[in-house]
Amino acid sequence: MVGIAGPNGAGKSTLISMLLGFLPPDRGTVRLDGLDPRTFIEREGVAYLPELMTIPLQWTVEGALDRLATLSAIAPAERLGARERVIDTVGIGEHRSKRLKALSKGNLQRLGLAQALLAERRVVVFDEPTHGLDPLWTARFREIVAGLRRADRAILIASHNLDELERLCDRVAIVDKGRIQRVVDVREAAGASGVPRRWRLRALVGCDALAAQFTDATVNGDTVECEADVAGLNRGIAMAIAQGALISSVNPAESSLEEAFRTAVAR
Amino acid sequence: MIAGRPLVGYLRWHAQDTVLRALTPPILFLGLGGVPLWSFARTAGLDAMDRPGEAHDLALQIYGNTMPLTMTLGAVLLANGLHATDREKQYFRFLFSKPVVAWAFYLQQFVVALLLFAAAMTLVPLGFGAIVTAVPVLAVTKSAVLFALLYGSLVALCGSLVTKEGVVFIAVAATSMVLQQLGKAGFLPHWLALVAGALPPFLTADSLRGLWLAGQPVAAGDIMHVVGYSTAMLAAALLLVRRLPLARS
Repeated sequence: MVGIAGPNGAGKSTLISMLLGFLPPDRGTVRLDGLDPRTFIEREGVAYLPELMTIPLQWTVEGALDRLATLSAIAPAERLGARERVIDTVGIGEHRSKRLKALSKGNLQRLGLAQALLAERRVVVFDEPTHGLDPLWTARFREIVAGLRRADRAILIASHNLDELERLCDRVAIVDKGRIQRVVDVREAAGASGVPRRWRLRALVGCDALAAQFTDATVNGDTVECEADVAGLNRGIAMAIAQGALISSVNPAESSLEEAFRTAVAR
Repeated sequence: MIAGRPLVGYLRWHAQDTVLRALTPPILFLGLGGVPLWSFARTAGLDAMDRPGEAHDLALQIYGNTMPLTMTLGAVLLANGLHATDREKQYFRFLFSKPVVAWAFYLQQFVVALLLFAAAMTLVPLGFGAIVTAVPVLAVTKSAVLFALLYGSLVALCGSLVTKEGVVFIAVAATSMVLQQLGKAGFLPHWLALVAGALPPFLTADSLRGLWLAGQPVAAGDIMHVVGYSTAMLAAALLLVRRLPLARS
């Protein structure tokens, strides 16, 4: 599962349009499984959720899913089952006979996700997938996407939401000014212990003693912010505890992906 | 390869999407010709309109003026916005992330629209014949197919190039008709007459319709000219759908 992160106008959606054969690249070639993107999609399709829900608003929820199930080459006998399955998965049963113009932004987004899940595809592309979803459905979306993981499936997610990408993806490509600036291995970066990073620690007792263990530490109430690698952090905490400090939480001040993003798109 | 099957299943949706456009001519005919015919029938009587005489001639005159007008307007509206709207409103993102060949999708849509238009147009002489007086039916059906093919393929070609294809269509159609009229009357220099001859054959199609409706023989070469020209425009439109990027305004 690969994420694409980048500031506004970085080229994330353009990259996706090229991957789907909707736009030609200025230079170079794009291949999906060795094929030109359009040829690949015309043969087997992709599960695609665009950033904007651009479906004719006079269609009904069921009508839209019936049409798109038909275009997805789902056998007639299986279309109804596929439609009901995705309606159930994204929880839009109560809206099934509504026209799309009557749906809220979040429900439209859930419909977009539903149509992408109609058929089993080897390539899955989600562009800003949680745009407009409430926190409950954002969490549900993560469960659904986690359930799509399969050895023979490539999943690409473009998002502004670094936390979401960090939770879902194995690698995240940071795009800026139309180029991939950096590819972050999320699991590796999260586990890297030798790299100094900013930490945020809370101490119920002995906040000053804790701050004294680190250079450049700042204290704000019961919170200490400092920079250290994992070993240095542990040494400092151990020393502070030995001096009577009572520490209630230790967290990175920012995620490894946020840090990588900040440095990659620094202007 | 599964690209052929989804389109067959989508025929009903294409029919549903184009049926209202196809029904425009009979509705227009009812609006434009129905009111004068109805008021005339109230004074002269329907029976008089079905017998040789002044009332009959007047009813046929109303039909003869209104039917070609509605056919022409209907043919223009038929293909207007089909591909360009999908592109402009980005519907293509949903349609063509599925295993569907875009040009085949639009070809099927065009054929369905053309057949529905011809069927809807045929309702006009059938209805007129049933209520007022008998008129040729097959001539209208043939003319409707020819007009839908010529006008529809030009609109499709414009729509594959630009978003505001209606404006381009009107410009091309008006230029063609004016130049072809002037050329026919011998008012154009040789080179401009050649240009006029190379433009879409609106006058030829008009002449064919007139001859068919009058029950007179037509030249096969003229039919070939209109059908061939239209088919070439449609093929060019579909080629552009295939070659040009979908993600453009």
